[in-house]
Amino acid sequence: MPEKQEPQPSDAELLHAALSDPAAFTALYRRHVDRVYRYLLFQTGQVEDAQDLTSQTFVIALERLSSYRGEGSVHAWLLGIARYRLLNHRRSQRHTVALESIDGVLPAPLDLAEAVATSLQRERVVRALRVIAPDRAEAISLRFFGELSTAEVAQTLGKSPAAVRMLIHRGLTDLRRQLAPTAATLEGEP
Amino acid sequence: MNENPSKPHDTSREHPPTSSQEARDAKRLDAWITARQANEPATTLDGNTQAEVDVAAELLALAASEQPDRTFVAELERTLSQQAVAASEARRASAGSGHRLHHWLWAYMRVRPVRRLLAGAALVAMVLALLLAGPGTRAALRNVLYNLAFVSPTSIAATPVAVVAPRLPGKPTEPMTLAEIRNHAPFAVRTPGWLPRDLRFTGGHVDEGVVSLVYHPRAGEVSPGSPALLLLLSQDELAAPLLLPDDQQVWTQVHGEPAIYLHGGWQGQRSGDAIHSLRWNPTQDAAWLTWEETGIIHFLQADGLGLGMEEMLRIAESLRVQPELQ
Repeated sequence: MPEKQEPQPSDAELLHAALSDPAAFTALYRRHVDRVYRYLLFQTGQVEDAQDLTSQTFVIALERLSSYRGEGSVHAWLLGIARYRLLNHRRSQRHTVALESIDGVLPAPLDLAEAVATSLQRERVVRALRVIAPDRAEAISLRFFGELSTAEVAQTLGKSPAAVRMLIHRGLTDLRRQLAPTAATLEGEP
Repeated sequence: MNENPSKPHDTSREHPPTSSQEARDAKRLDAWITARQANEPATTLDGNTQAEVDVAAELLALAASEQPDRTFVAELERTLSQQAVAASEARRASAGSGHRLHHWLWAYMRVRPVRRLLAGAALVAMVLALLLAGPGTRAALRNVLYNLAFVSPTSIAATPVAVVAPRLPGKPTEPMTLAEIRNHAPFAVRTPGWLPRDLRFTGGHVDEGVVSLVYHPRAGEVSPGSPALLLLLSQDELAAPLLLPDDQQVWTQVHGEPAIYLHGGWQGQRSGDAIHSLRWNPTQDAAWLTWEETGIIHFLQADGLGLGMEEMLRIAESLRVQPELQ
């Protein structure tokens, strides 16, 4: 007979409990850290920046536990903090990383060929996301890498769900055009 | 944020009108993405959206393959756990009889951005005091600056904070004009585009990369203790520990950036030329606002001007590089 599993507390319950129970915040962190990091990684294109911004996001979240009003999901709240940190980071960086230089800042080669391939593929996508319209790129990043629902993306961006669906649809069309030439070039190489 | 000058800022008003077919395709594509993310069977889509589905599938696969470095995740978890414990203790302490030590230790354990915001705020009061105080009290205030702003948190006693120290040598420098400040500052100095109470710029300093600007009401003399507004700008981290009480913080935003507002100020208990203890008085007519924006740490303090959070935020959001208000 299979063991009966205890029902897991919701994110909102964990967040409320975290005000008095440090372990609850740790549990919340474990649930969300991968998605927050992934969103920041595909926005910055840099592992170090993504790690730094992820740290900042959770530290601010810890300090602002009592500011969560239950409007929207905890995950959307966390990504909202991450987004503010990202915007601040970009302002301070003043976009010193030019598009042309992205090829030169690939992460250090890893041991596994698969990891290298993933890294290269990530760079392609990061570059393509920087070329397409920012609002479409933002919607795609939040939806695919931050794993927000369409309704949550809409709330985060201040748009209607229908508008977000169109942003993502057209953004994917744009991405396909941006990614296709690279693929063709690679295939055409001797 | 637009990183490519050649691309539009916002396409929401620029893209062609949505056809009903396109809206349907977008909705079906969205349902497909939702199903895939939930590991549920996804409906096969027709040729209209197949190309977008292929890209979406590639993004989903890429997202699934990207994981943060587990060492980084573990280290961050350890740090956050420690901070969560400290925060929890600080909350309990704040509900009790005022064991401020917990607050100080909590502040010390914060990571860089917030710690330097708050730590720097400590310097604001001291700089303002040094700018406004007369020679007789300046030495005592320097003692406070030396002992509190740069003391090791492990040596801080519980409330009340005792301050007895040798005086520091040094002479106050003459206030600089805005033009001089701009010439010496290591970054573009932004000044308020809006000021309440008919304030005017009356002097400032550039000291080791830290810019301080002081404003006084036009009417009335400029003297120690008279109402004043201080704006402190710094590019670098400040190594001072926290001198503001955690339980008085109000989190807000300046141009979307996290900011901290406090109302009140420290009251010193004096004996002769020395300040023996400091206690926070929330009813004191002083307002504090600190935030980081465009790579610059900002501190704004209003003393004796009757300002609240709304006016402080309005001043903060009016900062720009411009001809100064005179």
